Amino acid sequence: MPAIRQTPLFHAHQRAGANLMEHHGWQVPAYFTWAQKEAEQLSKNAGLSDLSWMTKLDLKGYGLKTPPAVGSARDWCLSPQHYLVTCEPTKRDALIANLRSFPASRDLSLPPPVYITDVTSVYAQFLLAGPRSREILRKLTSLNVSALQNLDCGQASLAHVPGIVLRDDLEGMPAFHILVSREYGESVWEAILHAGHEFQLAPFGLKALEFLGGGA
Amino acid sequence: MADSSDRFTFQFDGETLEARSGDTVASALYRAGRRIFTRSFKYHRPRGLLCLAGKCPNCMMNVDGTPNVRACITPVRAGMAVRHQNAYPSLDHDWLAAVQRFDGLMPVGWYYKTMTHEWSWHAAEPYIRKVAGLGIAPEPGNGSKDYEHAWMNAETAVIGGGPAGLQAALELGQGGSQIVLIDDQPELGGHLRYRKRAGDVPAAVIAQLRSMPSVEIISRAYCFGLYEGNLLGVLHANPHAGAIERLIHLRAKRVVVATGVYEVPFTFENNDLPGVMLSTGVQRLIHLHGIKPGTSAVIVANGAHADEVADDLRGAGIELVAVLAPGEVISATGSSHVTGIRTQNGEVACDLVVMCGQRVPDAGLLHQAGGKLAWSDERGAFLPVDLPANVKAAGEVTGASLTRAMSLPPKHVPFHKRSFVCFCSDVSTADLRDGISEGFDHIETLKRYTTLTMGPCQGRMCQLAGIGACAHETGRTMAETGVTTSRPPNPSVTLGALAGPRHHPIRRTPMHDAHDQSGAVWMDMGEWKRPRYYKSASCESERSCVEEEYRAVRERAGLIDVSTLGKLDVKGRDAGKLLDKVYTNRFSDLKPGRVRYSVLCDEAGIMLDDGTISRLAEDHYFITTTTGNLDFVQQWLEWWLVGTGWDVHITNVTGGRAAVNLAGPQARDVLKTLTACDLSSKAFPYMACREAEVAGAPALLLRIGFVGETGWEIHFPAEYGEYLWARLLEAGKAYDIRPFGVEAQRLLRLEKRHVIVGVDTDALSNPYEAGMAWVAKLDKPDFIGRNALSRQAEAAPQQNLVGFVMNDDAVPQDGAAILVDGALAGRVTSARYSPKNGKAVGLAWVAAKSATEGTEIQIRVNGSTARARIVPEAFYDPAGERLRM
Repeated sequence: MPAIRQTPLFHAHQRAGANLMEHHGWQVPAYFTWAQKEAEQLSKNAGLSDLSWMTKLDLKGYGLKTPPAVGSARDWCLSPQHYLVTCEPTKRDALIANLRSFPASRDLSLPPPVYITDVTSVYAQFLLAGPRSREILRKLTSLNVSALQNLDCGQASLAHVPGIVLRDDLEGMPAFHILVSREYGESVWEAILHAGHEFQLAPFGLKALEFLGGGA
Repeated sequence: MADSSDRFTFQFDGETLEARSGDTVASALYRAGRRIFTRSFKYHRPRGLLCLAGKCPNCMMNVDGTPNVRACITPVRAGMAVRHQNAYPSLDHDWLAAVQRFDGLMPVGWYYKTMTHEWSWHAAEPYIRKVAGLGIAPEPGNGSKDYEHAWMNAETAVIGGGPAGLQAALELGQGGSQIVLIDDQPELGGHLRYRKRAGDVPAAVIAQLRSMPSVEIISRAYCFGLYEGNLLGVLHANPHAGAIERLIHLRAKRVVVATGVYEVPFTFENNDLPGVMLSTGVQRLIHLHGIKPGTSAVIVANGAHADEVADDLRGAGIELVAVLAPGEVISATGSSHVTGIRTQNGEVACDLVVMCGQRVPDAGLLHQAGGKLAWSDERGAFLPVDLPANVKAAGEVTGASLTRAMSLPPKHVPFHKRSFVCFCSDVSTADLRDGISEGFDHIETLKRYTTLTMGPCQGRMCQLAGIGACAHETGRTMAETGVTTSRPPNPSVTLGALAGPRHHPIRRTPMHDAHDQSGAVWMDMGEWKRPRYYKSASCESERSCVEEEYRAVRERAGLIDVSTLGKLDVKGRDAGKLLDKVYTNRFSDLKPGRVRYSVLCDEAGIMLDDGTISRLAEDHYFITTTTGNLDFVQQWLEWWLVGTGWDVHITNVTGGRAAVNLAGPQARDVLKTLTACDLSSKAFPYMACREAEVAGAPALLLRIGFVGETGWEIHFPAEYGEYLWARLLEAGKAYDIRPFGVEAQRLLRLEKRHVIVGVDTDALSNPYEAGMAWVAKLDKPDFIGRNALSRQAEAAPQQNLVGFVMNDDAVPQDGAAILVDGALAGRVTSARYSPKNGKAVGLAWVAAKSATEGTEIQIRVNGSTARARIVPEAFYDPAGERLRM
């Protein structure tokens, strides 16, 4: 039995008839219908994808006064001295090595260290993208979505659960990464699809993301 | 004007009627000949269209199952099912109209006057509920449509899409402001749509606004409240085909209220008859819907607007019989529709009475925003003044262009039981007079006593007339009488819209689907779903399944999903210090690789939660909390951290870690096939922890034993949940391993006398009385609850948590009462049938003097009394040898 890694939506994707593929050890949807159609649908209205496999690191520490050096990864400031870093799984180890340049030491003369916790598994991560994505998000969260510029992030209740929203535009289209605690994954996924129904929101797979140039 | 080329049908009370595109439900029904639209709340009097602006209560109907929909502002759609409300058998023939013959029995405040005994209310209530009512609430879960919520932000919110609102939006929009414009009508333009003399709808402005990306226009939405911080409650009707209503939380930096004015009726006898309409209502029927509202009309006016309305009537081909001043009118005549107007000089026959009533600024939102309403004799209205800085009034709502249509307070009030002030609750001028004469002469007490302004129209139709009548009767001025406070929601809002979508979050463990496939019978734990037990081919009842699972754990091996445990990752140089401060046990001296149990108490020494804390490294701890208390514990830790300056960082990793408890005499044999970690008791003793790979997945193993057998709590990344669950079951196959659920776990731990905080303890339980004195380390210099615990350690306990064994086969329920010598002496907290003892065992709070070994207690079981005996030790393996094997 191979050690497969499942996103919280593994079974929901199967029920939805998704074609699953392996991606860095994870089972993720390659496509639900076909990639080009999903990409078009996304560019025209909106699309939703399960990116729970993306690496997420939680960085905390009183020594963290400036944004951490994360190279090609993304850093999101959740509160003072608290960052979330997202990156491709392939970049995880190098990134951690780089971030560990602060020594963890009990020597109080040194600045307090930065603590890294891998929270990849902690969050279900969804990408809601497309021209109508803002209108969908407005039905799910009190966060001021219209004030959220590209590469901004916010934290608010989303579909009745605590959520983090990271805006990272995709090919000029508004795109939002939605993070909720993993156990809520299926419930929130359904709530987003329900809210997006009037805007023809449809799920899309990794292939469509690659098609749009945002894939891994 | 309604386009007559596009026609379709809809249903009214089962009858198929024709409508035209552009019609509202009300206009389509009116064109089809309907004149009675509702029956009044109290007397079941026939009521017809009055305002046609969504302001009055006269056209509320059930539309597609939703009650109390205002037919006059609801666009009719093909296939719509419209039904009448509050009349039996039909609107035209309502048997309950007989009620008004007994109006003498129903004076103002008649509930208080007639139902002076409690029984009389209970006797009358079911009938009153049936007779007086506003529609029938829809069945829950009926239909695919839902209520929705949405959140929006705007620099400026403009309320009202009339000329002033459009102009304000245009100017601000051109200035670069991001704007949301809310209008309650199907189309923009406000009164210009139906008042031809006032000018044309500014189509160019509307087109320009629609083209501006920074302007968002929401039609058919009304603002029902302006709350603190400029939060506007907006109700958007039918935002799309899948939604009934959408409640928008709109937060705006600035609010421009351009809600305009509305017209209110005059008070005279039978002023509520169908066919007696407000002039703006008549103008809407003529100009918006191309309907001729009658054949011969009387205008009641005090000068203002009379010419304009007369022109409109003539233009529609209606004969104008007379123009009367309000003071001249004695009554309208007719039974189910107006047939004439009686004056001092005789009766004038007509089928339409057009009231050019006083215009009233729609200033409720401005009042809610903190503005004041000041009486203006010149304008004949309460005008908004003293507005807060970020709220502005624009257009007619300011009252700048108002003229007085009547003297206020009125020189003469026709006090009559059929001269209606409040159309919502049938409050007449006579009722107001009676209320005042009974001492309710302040406008606020008069409101509460008579229910004036408290119906669905929220005072729009009745407030001014009510204040006028009150001023007249008490001899005060309008300004002295004042105005009642406007509070949201105004207008009314459906409860469904406030409740929002039918979405309740569910928390699923990573192994959820695997449990489902194994026949899990689910139970809810807060938002979590947990298997209560598993149905299998070899067991039928819950009890036999639970017993099978129990035996597997006691005799072989069992596996339970404990992913719902709260899990906190605590890092930092001062982490041990914080845990010492917050938990009762000591953690700063815990060696890496060891686990300790503790409870967490508040300042009063009350147990709030418990859990295990593992030290993974010098500056790294891993805490588990009970399933329901995770958020509380995290906040509690962070609360006590504030201001200390300590280097501690808490991360909630609950969702990220799947957790299972593998327990039973053969648990080690199962686990060792999957890991290279040395599991022997020497290398991995009880209350130790190790990080190791299990079946290739990185895992944290805690050797702890809630169920009282050798076992490991295994925490691992959630994405491996199903994989590792399957691998463990596969490895355990040779030992006939069983997955077990919460019910078996509760039985197993009960035999071990392990307490569940929050089940066996409550908001009064301290560790001493719960028999857990060892968990409070009073030799620590300071920790939360230490003072209280020190006192409790010395004090004689009031009650004790004790174990008991039943003498016979009875199984008490959780919560059952305990008697000692016939007197109430405590209660059961948990009890289960124990296969080990062959009888039920349990935990109970018992008065301290009876809580001694061997005391015989009586427990209420199924209405009779069963006997039990207090036992001091655990019911199973009291020495804990099996845990350490």
